[in-house]
Amino acid sequence: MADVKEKIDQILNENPVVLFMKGTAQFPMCGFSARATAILQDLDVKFEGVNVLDDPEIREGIKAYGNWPTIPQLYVKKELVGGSDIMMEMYQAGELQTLFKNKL
Amino acid sequence: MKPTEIKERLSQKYPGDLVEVFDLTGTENHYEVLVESDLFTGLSRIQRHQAVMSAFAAELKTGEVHALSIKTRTKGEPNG
Repeated sequence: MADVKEKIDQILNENPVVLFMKGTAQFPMCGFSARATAILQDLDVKFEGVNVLDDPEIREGIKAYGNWPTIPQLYVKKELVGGSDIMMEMYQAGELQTLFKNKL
Repeated sequence: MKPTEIKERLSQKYPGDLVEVFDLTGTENHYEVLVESDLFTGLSRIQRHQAVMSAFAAELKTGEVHALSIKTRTKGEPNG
């Protein structure tokens, strides 16, 4: 598990906005990942999409990492923002826009 | 997991509070839940969702519950 944590640390260190998702931004493999992707694309935010279906270690590891049992998960500046519900709520309230403006 | 089991689990965690459960796909593994409870007062969005999801930790792990969409609010909050 220590290795997975390091691997995730490294991903988060190298990328300010990371979406752990099923599939890719071009081909999301789950409705929730598709919704999360669409929100980020609408806000024109550059993000690193990590396809957890490609890496079973990260798929399990990321759930323990942020104490969040589902995918997708959005991290901004190494901090867990939430899953697609929270992203949608924040997007609709204009809070996600503010978060990116302040953090990036 | 049956909708009634979901509701029961949440009602145990949030006794006396409004709990609504929707089976999104009719397949008993994609759910949306709404919980209105003052136990959420002072908690961030993340903390609220973590609290609700923790009631289904085992089922989310095995995939028995594949997706859990969550809406939370306190009694004073209009929507959310």
